[in-house]
Amino acid sequence: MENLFYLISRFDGASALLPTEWRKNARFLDERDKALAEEFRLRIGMPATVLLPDGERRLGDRDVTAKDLNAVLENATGASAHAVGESMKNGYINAQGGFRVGLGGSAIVKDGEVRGFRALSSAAIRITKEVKGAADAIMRELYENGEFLSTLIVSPPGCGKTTILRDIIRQVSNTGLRVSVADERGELAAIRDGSPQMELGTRTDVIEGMTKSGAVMMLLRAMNPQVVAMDEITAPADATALESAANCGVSLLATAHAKDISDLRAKAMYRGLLDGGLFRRVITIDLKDGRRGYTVKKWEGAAC
Amino acid sequence: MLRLIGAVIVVACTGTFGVSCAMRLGLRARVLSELIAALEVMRSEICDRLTPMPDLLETLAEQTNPPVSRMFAGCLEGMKSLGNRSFYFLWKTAVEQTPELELTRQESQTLIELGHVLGRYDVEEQRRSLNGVIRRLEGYLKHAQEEKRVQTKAHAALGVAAGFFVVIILI
Repeated sequence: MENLFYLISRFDGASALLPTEWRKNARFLDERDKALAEEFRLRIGMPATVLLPDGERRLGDRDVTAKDLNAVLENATGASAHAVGESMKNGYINAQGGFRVGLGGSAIVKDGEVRGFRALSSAAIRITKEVKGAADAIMRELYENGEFLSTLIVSPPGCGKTTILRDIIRQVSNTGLRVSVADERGELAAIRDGSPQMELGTRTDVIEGMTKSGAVMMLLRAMNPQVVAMDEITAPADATALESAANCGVSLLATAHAKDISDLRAKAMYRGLLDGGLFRRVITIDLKDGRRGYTVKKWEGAAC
Repeated sequence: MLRLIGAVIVVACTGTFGVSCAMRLGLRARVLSELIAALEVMRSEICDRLTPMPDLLETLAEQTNPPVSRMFAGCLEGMKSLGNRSFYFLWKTAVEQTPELELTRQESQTLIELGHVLGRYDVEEQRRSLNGVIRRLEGYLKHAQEEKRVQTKAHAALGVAAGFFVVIILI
């Protein structure tokens, strides 16, 4: 029941970013739908929708206008677009409460760099949820002789990599290990005014808003971590930074986009990480009928 | 004797009226000057420190003097309804609901237009708009100071003269 209250409060928090009319309509959804809702979607010229496990459902008949999208942007930034400029360049904003607002539209490019959006055409308000205990069933498998083993979480987008990564970070940190998090997109901790909006444990340090590779090197120098965590290894520089961390005797915790391990190994950058023995455990996520299943595989390098 | 007392009262009243008109000219120049200083702080906070709007409004409400502080405090109070109302509306309302600013229609309009840009665009765009508004307010300030210099004595003298005129007619 407590969880249902939490999920509904997250839904209500995210719906507060919507223009008044749709916010009111969202409140009339039944509790089950509120608990399962994943995103609000607004596209110009189309009705606003809420994304549920069985697809998108309309929040009203009126089509979204540019004014509505600007209202969402203004609400999400607290009328301070300049203060979120860096993340907006990457197409998203972290709003109060840890909700992430993805943006689409005509990008403004100056000196070869995206500065923001001239005209917004769509927005996706992600109803970010902490699922404390999501990793309970697999935590024991991530340790050997009391030592936390470097772990890679692999799944396609939308399967819950970030959710389980956040819970593992929280649990590992609460066991007493110093965890440093390179949170480039601010999605793991969702820091607002210096305070994390998501619980990442008692011994966790976070750098957000800068490249993952840069943040890892900075954290290694400044925070003396025992575990380094990052969401989504996407660039060779991320892989290099993780190798540097591993060479310092730090355990790693990261995620990667792929259907499964063989799909991951088909990509040279990830193959290098896996075959180099950087990770000792690989978690894969299966999503069936809206439920997530986690499988932990022992990984000892290319031989496996 | 009564006539004399009455005459003094009339002259004092009209003279006070003239002086208060002169003082309003001084107040307008002071308000414009304070608004310019506040917008310069706003420019630095937005463009150099990327300060979020609620924090910025709070700082300005604390650092400025009335009636300018009341305008920023009013806008900050309005921020509670952001989401139901646009920032432009809140800014405009704050300017309009602070008549003590003694701004002319043109000056108010200049300030209100800033609400279209504040917090909405990137740093450079906001810097450009703030620079433009500061320049225009500086122009208004010069005009207000000149007006004050020329008209202060005139208002006071006219007030007293009007009093004597009324007294002469009545006597």
